[in-house]
Amino acid sequence: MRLTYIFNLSAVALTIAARSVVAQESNVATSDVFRHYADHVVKIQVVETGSAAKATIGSGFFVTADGEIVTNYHVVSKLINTPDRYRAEMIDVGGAAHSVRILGVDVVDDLALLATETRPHSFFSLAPVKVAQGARLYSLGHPEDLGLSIVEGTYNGYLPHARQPRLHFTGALNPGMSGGPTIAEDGRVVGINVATEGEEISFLVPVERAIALEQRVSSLGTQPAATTLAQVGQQLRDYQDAYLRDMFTGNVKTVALGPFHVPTEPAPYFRCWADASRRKEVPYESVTHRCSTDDYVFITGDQSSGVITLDHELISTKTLNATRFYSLYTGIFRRDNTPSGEEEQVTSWRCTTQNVRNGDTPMRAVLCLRRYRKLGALYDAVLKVAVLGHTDVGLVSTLSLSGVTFENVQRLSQRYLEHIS
Amino acid sequence: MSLVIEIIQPDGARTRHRLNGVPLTLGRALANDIVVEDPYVDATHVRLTPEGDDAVVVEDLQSVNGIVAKGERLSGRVVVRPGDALRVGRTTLRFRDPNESLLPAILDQSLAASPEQVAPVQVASRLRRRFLTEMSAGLVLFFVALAACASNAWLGDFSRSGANEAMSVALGVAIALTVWAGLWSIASRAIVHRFRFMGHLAVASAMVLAALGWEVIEQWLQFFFPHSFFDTVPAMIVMLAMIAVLVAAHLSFASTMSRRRQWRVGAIVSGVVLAITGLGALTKDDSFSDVPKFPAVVKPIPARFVPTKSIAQFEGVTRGVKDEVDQLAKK
Repeated sequence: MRLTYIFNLSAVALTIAARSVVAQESNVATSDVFRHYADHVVKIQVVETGSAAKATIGSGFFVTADGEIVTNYHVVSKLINTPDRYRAEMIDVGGAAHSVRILGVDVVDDLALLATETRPHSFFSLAPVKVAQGARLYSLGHPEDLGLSIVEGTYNGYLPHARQPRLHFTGALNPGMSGGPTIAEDGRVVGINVATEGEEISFLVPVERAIALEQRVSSLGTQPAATTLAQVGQQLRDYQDAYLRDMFTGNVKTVALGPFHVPTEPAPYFRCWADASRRKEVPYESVTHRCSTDDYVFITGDQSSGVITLDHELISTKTLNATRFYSLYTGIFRRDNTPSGEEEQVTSWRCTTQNVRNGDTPMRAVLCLRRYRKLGALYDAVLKVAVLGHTDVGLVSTLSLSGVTFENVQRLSQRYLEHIS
Repeated sequence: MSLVIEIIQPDGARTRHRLNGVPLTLGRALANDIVVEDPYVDATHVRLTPEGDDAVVVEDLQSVNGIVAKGERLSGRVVVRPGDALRVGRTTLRFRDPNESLLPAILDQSLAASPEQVAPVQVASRLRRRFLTEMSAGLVLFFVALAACASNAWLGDFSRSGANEAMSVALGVAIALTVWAGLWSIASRAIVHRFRFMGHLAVASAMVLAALGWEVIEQWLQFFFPHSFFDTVPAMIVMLAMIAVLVAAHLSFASTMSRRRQWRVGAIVSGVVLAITGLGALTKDDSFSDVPKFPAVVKPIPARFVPTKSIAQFEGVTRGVKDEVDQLAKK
């Protein structure tokens, strides 16, 4: 599953989503909600300073009388990652542009708190909220830069399996609505628009996370803009430390694939899938088993972090001789399934390879590493393993870690190897 | 050693005279030592005085048209050496070293066909031996190389159409070898007046076999010793040696160079390849790539024969990779 962030105009397909939510009984008309709260919501745009043209647009909303605005981190990520090339501005309900600056960010929850010099007539006061599943919610924002719009939908609770809390909103969020509020009909903010999977499956950051960000910023005071990127790096390091602490500890679950045993579902927030392929046109069979987390952390348009995957592929043959089978095995082992990257964000990969042994099981193990350029000591790592010693069956297993410290790379790769037999 | 003067008259007629240390005169008059039939030459045009073993002083005897060298009219005395040429009137004088190297004689095929009429029996057997050796070596190596390429392709292919793939590869290699040997044969014909096609085919086929053999060895080295000295240095040495041998072996059929010189040319070609590869590696190494490179080769050997390290030892070497990417991040 891959979420689509809903902040820019690059997704050209303009989805005029047919409203399919079954009308529910309500005392308040949608038009009333819009009329009451439209002036709380603004458009946020990041402008490329050289050409003075919009690079990204999103939405935001006032949360204090001082003009503080909550939006998504990913709406202003270009400014945070490349402050010398971009500036951000807020367009109010009357269409006037005002400059904004960043007060604080929460990269893991995809939130940013901005400051403006304007004083809003009214704002949303953030407070924890409880909503019943099926309750009608209203999402506000600027879809596809078409002007402020309101979208009706229903609340469907917290996402299971997600380590970072996300609310499931059944309603058609579209690019440009990121950072806008989703509210109950009485005006209480339930969540912040963040992502969509299409077909009216949309996701919100719970309002509690925005409250936490507000409190953190007010307790720490405004940090210098130059340190924002360092804060992002530190937040990612803290996040992965907490995230990975329990992986492969205690009784690690394993699954049998042919004659081999491999780790599976290393923590409850992983989801695993399996499939088998027996095609007549190829002289071998393959069984795949894949586990992945759903929580990925957006850093910039071409870099995300926090995803961990385990990928096992068992191949076996009844017709190929050992040499031909190992040509196939080498080809599958060589296949590149590493995440792509941009030179501005990450270094090239560097790898080390050794034949290692876990008990009686010899394996060829390759560890490839690359480092994040701007976010301090964080790495992407890929550990690939091919089990040796058989002539008609083989197993290629890959552990991919993104945005983790080297200590965690070593700890997890060692535990991973220890659980392949 | 004394020089030879070659006189090329306007009608193309050539005569040659050895300059035996005594001054000679050249002109149209019959009283000269060397007489030329050229109305633009004076009665006594020049005097040729040998100086040492490898030079001649040519002295203009106040002729009407003088001496011309490289399109320029000269007067007085000119010193010439082997390889130089002068013009007097419309006649060319070339000075040559009597010991200069010559191409071998062209084989007279009509004599080879019926050697017993002209030559003794040993000439026939020598010819047959050379012909048979080159012919048989060329053919045997050619077909062995094709078979090796086909089997290599078949073993490296895991689709159901592996046999077809192998045949296509063999056909491709056959065409490439024939064209390669053909080009060298044309060069041979131009230089030594013989094609020697089978000889060139034998050399090229042997080199294909050597390259395949090395590929197999290299894969096993990569399997046993990944990321080691064996990854780069031996591969480079073998490649350079193969290029040097290939060039030297082709030159042995296609030139009159001494064996020493053939090897020298082979080494120079290898050196050029090394320089180009080195430059390429220098420029490529810094370029960014989001695709990792690693020796992925796995080999089918029983578990107990696989040389392995412990997981802890593996984790130990991963620190080196961290240091590498940390360095990259600083650039």
